[in-house]
Amino acid sequence: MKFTLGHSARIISIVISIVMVAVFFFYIFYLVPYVSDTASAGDDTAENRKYHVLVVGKAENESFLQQIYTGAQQVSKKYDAVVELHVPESKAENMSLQVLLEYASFTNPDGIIAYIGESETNIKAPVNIDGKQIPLITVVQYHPDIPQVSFIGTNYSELGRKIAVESSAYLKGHGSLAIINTSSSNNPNYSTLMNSLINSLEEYTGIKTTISDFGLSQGATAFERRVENEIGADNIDLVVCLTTEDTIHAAQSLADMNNGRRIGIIGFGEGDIADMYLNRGIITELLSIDSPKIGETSMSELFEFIRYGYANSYINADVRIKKAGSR
Amino acid sequence: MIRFSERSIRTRIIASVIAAIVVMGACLIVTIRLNQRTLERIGGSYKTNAELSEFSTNLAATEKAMETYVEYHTFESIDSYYHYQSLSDSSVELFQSVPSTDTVLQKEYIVRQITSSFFTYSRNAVAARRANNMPDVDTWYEKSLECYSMLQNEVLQLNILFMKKNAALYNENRDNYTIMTRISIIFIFIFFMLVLAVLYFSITAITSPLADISAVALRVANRDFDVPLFNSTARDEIGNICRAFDRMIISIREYIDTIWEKALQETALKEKEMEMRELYADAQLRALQNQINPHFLFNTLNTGAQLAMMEGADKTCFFMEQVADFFRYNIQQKNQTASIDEELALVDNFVYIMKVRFGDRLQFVKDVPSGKYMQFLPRMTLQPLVENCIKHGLKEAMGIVVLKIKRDSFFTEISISDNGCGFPPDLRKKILEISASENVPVEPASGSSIEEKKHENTGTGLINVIARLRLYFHRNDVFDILSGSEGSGTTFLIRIPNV
Repeated sequence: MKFTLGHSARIISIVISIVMVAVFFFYIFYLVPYVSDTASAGDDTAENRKYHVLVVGKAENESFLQQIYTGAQQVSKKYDAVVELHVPESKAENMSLQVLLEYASFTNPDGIIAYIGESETNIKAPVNIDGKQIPLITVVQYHPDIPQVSFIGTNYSELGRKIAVESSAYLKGHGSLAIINTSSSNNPNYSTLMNSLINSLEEYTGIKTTISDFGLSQGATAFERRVENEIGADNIDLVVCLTTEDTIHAAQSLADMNNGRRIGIIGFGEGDIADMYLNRGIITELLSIDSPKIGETSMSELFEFIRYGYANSYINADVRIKKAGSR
Repeated sequence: MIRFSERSIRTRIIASVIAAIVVMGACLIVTIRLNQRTLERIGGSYKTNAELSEFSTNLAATEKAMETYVEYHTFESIDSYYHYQSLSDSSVELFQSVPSTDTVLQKEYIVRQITSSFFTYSRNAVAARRANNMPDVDTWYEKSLECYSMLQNEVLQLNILFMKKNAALYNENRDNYTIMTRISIIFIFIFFMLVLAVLYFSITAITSPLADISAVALRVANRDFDVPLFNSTARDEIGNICRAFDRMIISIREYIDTIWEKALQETALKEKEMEMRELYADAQLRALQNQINPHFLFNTLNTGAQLAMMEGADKTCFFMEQVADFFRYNIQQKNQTASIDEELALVDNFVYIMKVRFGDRLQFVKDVPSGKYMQFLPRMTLQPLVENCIKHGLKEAMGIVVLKIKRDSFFTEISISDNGCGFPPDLRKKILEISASENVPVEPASGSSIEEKKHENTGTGLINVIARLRLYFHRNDVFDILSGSEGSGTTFLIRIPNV
């Protein structure tokens, strides 16, 4: 005789037991993630690297160094390195470059990429706790008194020629051009750039060149007033700026003038604000050093030195030209 | 190894309950443990900050001890320096040792590197101070202070990073705890329901055979033994009950079969016995009929002879025909029974023959209502009685024999009476008793006197008739002899049931 009820009940109880065990394990597996390491515990994509490279510079070069850092960061995995940008967050910190390099020494990195401005003197080369030189790559400015693995800089003479070519192209060979000059005369790079630009423009006879000496540290308001008075009054077709700050100030001044006349701006430099004016079409062209490429090249030279003991001592940085509306 | 399903009900139920408790307990323990872990994690969310704070304190103590030693050159300060440096060193050993792309880990790495530099410079300063090499003391001391300043700044930054990370971790753990609590409540409820369901079905599975046993027992109690056998192979109590029940049902069936067979045998024996008795009765009947024939034949032949002597051929012829009819009826015994009408016809034949013999001395009165009397009775029943009445009636000067038939709704009553000297009571009693017994004498006893033989012949014929009637109708009251005082004659009374 078959006990159908009992048989069914037994099968059902077995099935429910299996379900219960499954639910139990599901319960555990479902809850375990809540007690295991949570997402906030750390970056899952983070990884340990073998080498440590510091990008060091002063606060006023933060934007430029940020670009270099970005370039170096892009190739860091290739060299199994962690790249860090060590720049004071604002000018208010007023930290000297020597202190920044001391900091770099204390962290004992495998290499340093530093922007040492031309005004920086008596800079001591960074050494580790054992007293050994830390491989140093300098960018933009070469310092013969500091032992450097490589120097990656700009050929300002070539840059001046490029700006002249771009200016002529904008004016189509005819027009008036004003060069904003705010830098000191004892800056050799700036002087080289200015000389090269003026000499090159002299080749274009249809272009009338004016140099507007705005002097140093006049402040933004004074700068804008002079732009309005001098450039707005004269029939200037193109303004050429040789620093990032001059380019931005010129763009701001000309944007506010609104005298119904279109004045082009060819500037030199980079940064978010300059890019914004470029995108808005106020700045016509923006020439800049290809700083991310400098970062990549710096890493390449640094690790060539670390691995083989030698590297190229001098490398020319490329120049990028960004035109309004091209992006 | 005994299977679980073969263990006793008590063991299985206890095991089921224990299993349910274990499952629920496991669920609760897991839940409590997970919640505890989450709470620990929430509590330890800011653990790294605390550790870093302790590290920073030790670091400050190290720096302070270095300062004191450089300035005062005391044993306590150098002891303190090494003590706190050791503590700081053991803490910093836990920090990230290689560069990392993770911001926090990288900051740990930086702190570790600067700490290492600080220890190197401070050790150099302390060593220079122990050696009283003051120029070096100034160099390394200044370097140590500069390094320490930066280190404190980095520790502060690391602390902020830890704080951000830990705040996020705390919020996440707190959210997880809330979610876990809700999920746990839901799962515990589900588990509780599942455990209840398992318990219910397990206990149903264990005890359900009892319901079947109960149903079968009820049928058996209602004398329905045609129930299916359990044929259970279980070794538990229910299995034992099932087997006992099966054996009981089989025993009952066997007992019923035995009783049935006995009943059949008894019925067969009874039928056989009845058949034997019928055969025996039939044999008796035939024997009695065979007794009658010779007497009658003898007397008839005498009468025929006398008639042949006294009268001419026609009457003799008629007479002989009557005789022939009479004999024919006697000889034609295809059946053992005859209808009342057939018997009355035979009586008429017989009375004619007797009237030829005795003439006017014999008066025969036949009082039979018109109609057909088809009731059957043993053949040759009425004629011997009429003959007996004629014989006893003729002892008087005038022999009167009366035959009456009276019919009511239950019986057909045939009475044959004479006007003779009556029937002796002793003889009547003896004849009725003998005819009622199973051993009816077929022949009269030998060696008796002539008078005795006459009585015996009369008795034998009556007994024969009475016995056949009783055998045929299976009733003792079918025949009676009525006789009053001496000389009041005798009446034979036959009461034939109409059904």
